[in-house]
Amino acid sequence: MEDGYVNIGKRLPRVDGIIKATGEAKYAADLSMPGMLHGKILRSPYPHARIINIDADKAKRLPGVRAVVTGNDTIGFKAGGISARGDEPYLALEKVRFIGDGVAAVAAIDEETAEEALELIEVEYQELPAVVDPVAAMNEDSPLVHEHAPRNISYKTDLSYGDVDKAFKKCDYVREDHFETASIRHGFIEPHAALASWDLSGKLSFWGSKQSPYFTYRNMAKALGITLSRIRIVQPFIGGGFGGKNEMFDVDFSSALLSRKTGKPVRIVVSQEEVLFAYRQRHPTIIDIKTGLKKDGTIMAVDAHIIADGGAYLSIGAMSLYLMCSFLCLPYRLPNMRARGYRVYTNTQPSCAMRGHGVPQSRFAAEVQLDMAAGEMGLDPMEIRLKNALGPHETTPNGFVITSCGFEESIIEGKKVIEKWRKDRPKDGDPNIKRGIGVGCYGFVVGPRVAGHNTAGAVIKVHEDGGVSLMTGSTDSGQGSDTALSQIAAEVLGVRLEDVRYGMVDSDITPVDPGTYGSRVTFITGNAVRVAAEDVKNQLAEVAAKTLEANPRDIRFKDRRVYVAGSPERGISFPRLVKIAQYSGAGKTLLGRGYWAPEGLKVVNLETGRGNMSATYSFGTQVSEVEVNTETGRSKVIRMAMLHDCGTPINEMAMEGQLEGSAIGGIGHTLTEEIIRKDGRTMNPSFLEYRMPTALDACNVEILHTDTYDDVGPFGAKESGEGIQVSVVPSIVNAIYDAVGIPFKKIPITPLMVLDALKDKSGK
Amino acid sequence: MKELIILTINGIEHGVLVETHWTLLDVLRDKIGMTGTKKGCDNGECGACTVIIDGEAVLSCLILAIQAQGKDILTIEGVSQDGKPDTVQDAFVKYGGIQCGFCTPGMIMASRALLNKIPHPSTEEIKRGLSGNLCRCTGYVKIIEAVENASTTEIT
Amino acid sequence: MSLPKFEFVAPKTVAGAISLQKDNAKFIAGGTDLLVAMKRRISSPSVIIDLNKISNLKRIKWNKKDGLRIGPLITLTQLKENPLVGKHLPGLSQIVPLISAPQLQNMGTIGGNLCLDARCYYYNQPVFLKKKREPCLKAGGQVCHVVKSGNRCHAVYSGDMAAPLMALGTRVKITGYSKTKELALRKFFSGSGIKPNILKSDELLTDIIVPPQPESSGFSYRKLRLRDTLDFPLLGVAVFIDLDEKDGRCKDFCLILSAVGPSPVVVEAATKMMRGKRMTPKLMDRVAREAQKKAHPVDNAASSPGYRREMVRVLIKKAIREALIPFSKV
Repeated sequence: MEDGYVNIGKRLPRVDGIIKATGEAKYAADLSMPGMLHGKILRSPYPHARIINIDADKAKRLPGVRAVVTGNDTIGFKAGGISARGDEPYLALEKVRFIGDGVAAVAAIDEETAEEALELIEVEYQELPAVVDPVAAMNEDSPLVHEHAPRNISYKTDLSYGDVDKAFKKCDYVREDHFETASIRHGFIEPHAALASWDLSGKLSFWGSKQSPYFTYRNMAKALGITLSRIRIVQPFIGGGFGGKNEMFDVDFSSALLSRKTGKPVRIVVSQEEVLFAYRQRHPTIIDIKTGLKKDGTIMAVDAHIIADGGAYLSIGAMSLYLMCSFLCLPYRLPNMRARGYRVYTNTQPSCAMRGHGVPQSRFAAEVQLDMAAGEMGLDPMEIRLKNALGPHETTPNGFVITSCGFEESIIEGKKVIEKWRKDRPKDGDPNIKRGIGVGCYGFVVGPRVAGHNTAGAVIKVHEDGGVSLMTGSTDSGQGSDTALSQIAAEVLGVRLEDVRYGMVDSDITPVDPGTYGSRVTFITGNAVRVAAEDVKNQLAEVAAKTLEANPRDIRFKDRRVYVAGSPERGISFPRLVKIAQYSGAGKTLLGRGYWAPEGLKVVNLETGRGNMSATYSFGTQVSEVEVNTETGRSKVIRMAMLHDCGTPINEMAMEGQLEGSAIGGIGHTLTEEIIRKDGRTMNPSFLEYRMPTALDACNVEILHTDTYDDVGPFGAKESGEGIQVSVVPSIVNAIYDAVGIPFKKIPITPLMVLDALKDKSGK
Repeated sequence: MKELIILTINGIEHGVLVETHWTLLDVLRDKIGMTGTKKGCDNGECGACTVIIDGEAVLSCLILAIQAQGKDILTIEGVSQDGKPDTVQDAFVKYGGIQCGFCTPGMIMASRALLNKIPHPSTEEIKRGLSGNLCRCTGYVKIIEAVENASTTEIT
Repeated sequence: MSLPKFEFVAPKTVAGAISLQKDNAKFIAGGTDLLVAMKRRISSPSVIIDLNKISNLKRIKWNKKDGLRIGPLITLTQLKENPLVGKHLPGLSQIVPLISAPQLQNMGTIGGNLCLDARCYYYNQPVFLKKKREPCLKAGGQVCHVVKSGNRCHAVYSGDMAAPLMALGTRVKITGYSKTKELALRKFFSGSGIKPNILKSDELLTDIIVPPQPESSGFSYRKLRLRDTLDFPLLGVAVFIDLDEKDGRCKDFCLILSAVGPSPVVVEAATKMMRGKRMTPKLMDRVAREAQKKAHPVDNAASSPGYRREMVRVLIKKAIREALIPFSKV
């Protein structure tokens, strides 16, 4: 490890900060083209119905309407996280499966005309019995959301090892609990938006708010039945994603289809209301979990039964379910376990990945149950965690290989925080205010290795004045990866961050890439960038070696200077070197190329839960302090500490920002956020009634990271910000447990739940 | 029927043909081409469309363009002066108050309006002043820090 | 959704505004309630009459006899910052931060807040989600989705200003086509969720008159909500107490509940129970229990009726304690 970095580890402002602050950054809905038409999508008003007929004649005759498309205008492609099991048409084919399912799309000269046209499309439906409750959906006699899925089981995971039954018999303490988590929103403020332009040579250009543009690139080709070389996907700035903008949606497809039909560019911007009732959500779950321990606190066995409400379609749900089950194996040693997961179809909005992807639900249950066990066994919740904490170089029985790991340190630091907080707690105040401190822990993936394409690529072009252009296929949906990747390129090439220009995804130019999910960009793409920068550096080092009369291996690049190791005076400026390389002799075209994927991992099996997910894992401990008002039942988080192992951070400020966002979002998930539905109909599709935290909920967040360096991560870095989301919710729930002595097994914890539980408790 | 109105935006008069039912937000974005002001919810719940009219932060999604005639409208495009970001914009960049950036223009307008009224607000006043602007990325922590810093570097 | 089309007029006088009223026209003040309702197609007026050009409606005056006269077009922020209000009725300025968020305080008006349409979970849904549901009473239909067998509308008046203003004995002036009348604010509300106030389509609220408050009085407004901003009240409690400073007995007492029915609820019994009495925890409890009987929250808002009912008691005690702060020496 080389010291004295110029770019790495610094609190550098984001590369796109200024243009975002001035409003110059262009998001999909900000883009327009000459002759552009505006699209709108007609949605199903029924949770479950057969489409008998669609009559769009009246709509087509409305002045200003240019085209109407329905499922009949498509080749019938169905999307899904596992392509062979794709079940989701971009426009409904025979059936609609939830309120909001896309049925038809209109292109018109303006949005108002398109809205008006929707009203004129006559759809004849035959209403079918709907099932909106996942437990009921599993009954033999329940209506089927998809004919191919008996008992509406969308996916099953059965992960087991050791001998759970035998282990429970040997335990000194066993408890079983029932947990439930609500469906919640990703909560990005930018609604889905897409602009498509089809030309007469048969090529499509597309701009959309996509976290994983190359997913859209592949599915667009499949859904339109054209080759990839005829598709160009361009990424504008993305107004937040959190997992909700990974997949291609009806809005993306319809804009392309309408553009093909009209020969004009078509833009569709969905409303936030539509986002809230017709697009994705986090899987709501019902979790029954049994845990057995020795009296010294050693965890011996876990047996979990998980029902995850997948909504109407498969989406990425197989992975979600696998993660819910397999991440019961982290972050504690667990010799015997069984996790049976069922992802179930219902006639509601489809569930997909959301920050922490599946893990927040199961770890909420496991972490809260652990505190209940500790409480009853008279053990300190921190000691029990410390005792079972996985450490470096351990392998979990399902196959996760842990390399760098600062988990133990994070618990020890967490203990210190708790001691300090207990001391500086204000003495007497309002007797109706109860204070409590709680903890939650996590282990998380750092760039998952799954079946299919995993590689990230990077291309670097060096300009003759020493400037650098960096291109990758990864997207920054807000997390700051454009900045982190630029810092990596700058550090390897010995230039400064401001010398790097980052080019966003354009599938004509940038390398193919899976996109932003699973905390993979900084880790995997970061390595590709490092390799690309080294490639071009090596090309330059050869030139420098000649010029400076030294061995290429002895050439050093730092802070815009190139010199011979050990003799900084024997050097030239970086721009000067580039000029020599490009101008002398045949001249070099300075292009660096890099690609990288974690190798040697056993690709996970989503059904059995076996395999190694990622090249390394992140870990951490979250501490939260709450005040519970026993009169009103309202809980307020007053401070938090996040002690985590993200390896060595590339950019401290960006890393902190990620953690803070996770923390405050988690307050909402625990206390106020919930999609309320009645008969499959969303009752609160607005930011007024779907209550995300506001600036008034922001509390003080202390951030401490353990001192680890990951050998595989770029400059020692790992994941940050997504993993810790997993532990925020249980830390708050456990803090409320500490404050009022009631462990809540259902989130969100509403004021009424608190008051009822307090009454029950005092009644006992 | 369309009507010609004059809107004074960032000190410049714009003549625009508008329908009476068009919101100021839509006219700014689609007719004048100022897309810095964002449409988040279009229902007055997220603050992304915040502009400053006659000194007060207001929501352009709930104002008719026709009502904004004769008023002094400041949008995010008019905050930077002489090609340079102003103190608040600078602080948002410097202190990490920006992630995806979609709430940022509205946040900056709300912060600008707050600091114009209260040059040195307390943390609580900042939180309250920004409580009509939703942000999912940052958890607000660094946004609050940015406004605090802007308030101490500002020459008033 | 885009706004529906309409004709737009912006008269300069009250008389002008009233004469422009047609069947389906709507007055607009701050627009924060109406425009959202229009985007959701809850309201589709053919004409919008903008009141913002009527300078007469934007004044705040004070005189010893009548107290404060507040023009209905005064924004909530102007109310908060107005020096006359700050001097004579500081309690009123302190309510403003409890209402919604800063931008909406800058836009919304005091008159608009009093004239807010009643709200309901079902009724305020986006038009698309209401499609396959029978229109409710408030939408001109025959059913109530909240109380299934009910034959009256349970939409809730959710303004924050009414309860405190009522507690302070506020009167309002209503100007119509041919005549003008002045009445107590508590008479302004109709008790119907379908149309929560008594204004006829060609009448305007033109003045809000808050009488001078006795030196010996205290006042409080408490609001229940799930977040400390943006949210409408799940419950509002306003308390006014006038104490005889010599013996600490109540000369007058007024308790108003808000957001638990189509109109703010005046708890008359509380006034009777308190007059001439000294405030004791026991009495407070009795008053709170009495008030609970008057509150009929139903399942039409974000939180369960049971919780809101329970909170009536809690908030009343808090409000009474807060109203008594000026007399803490007594």
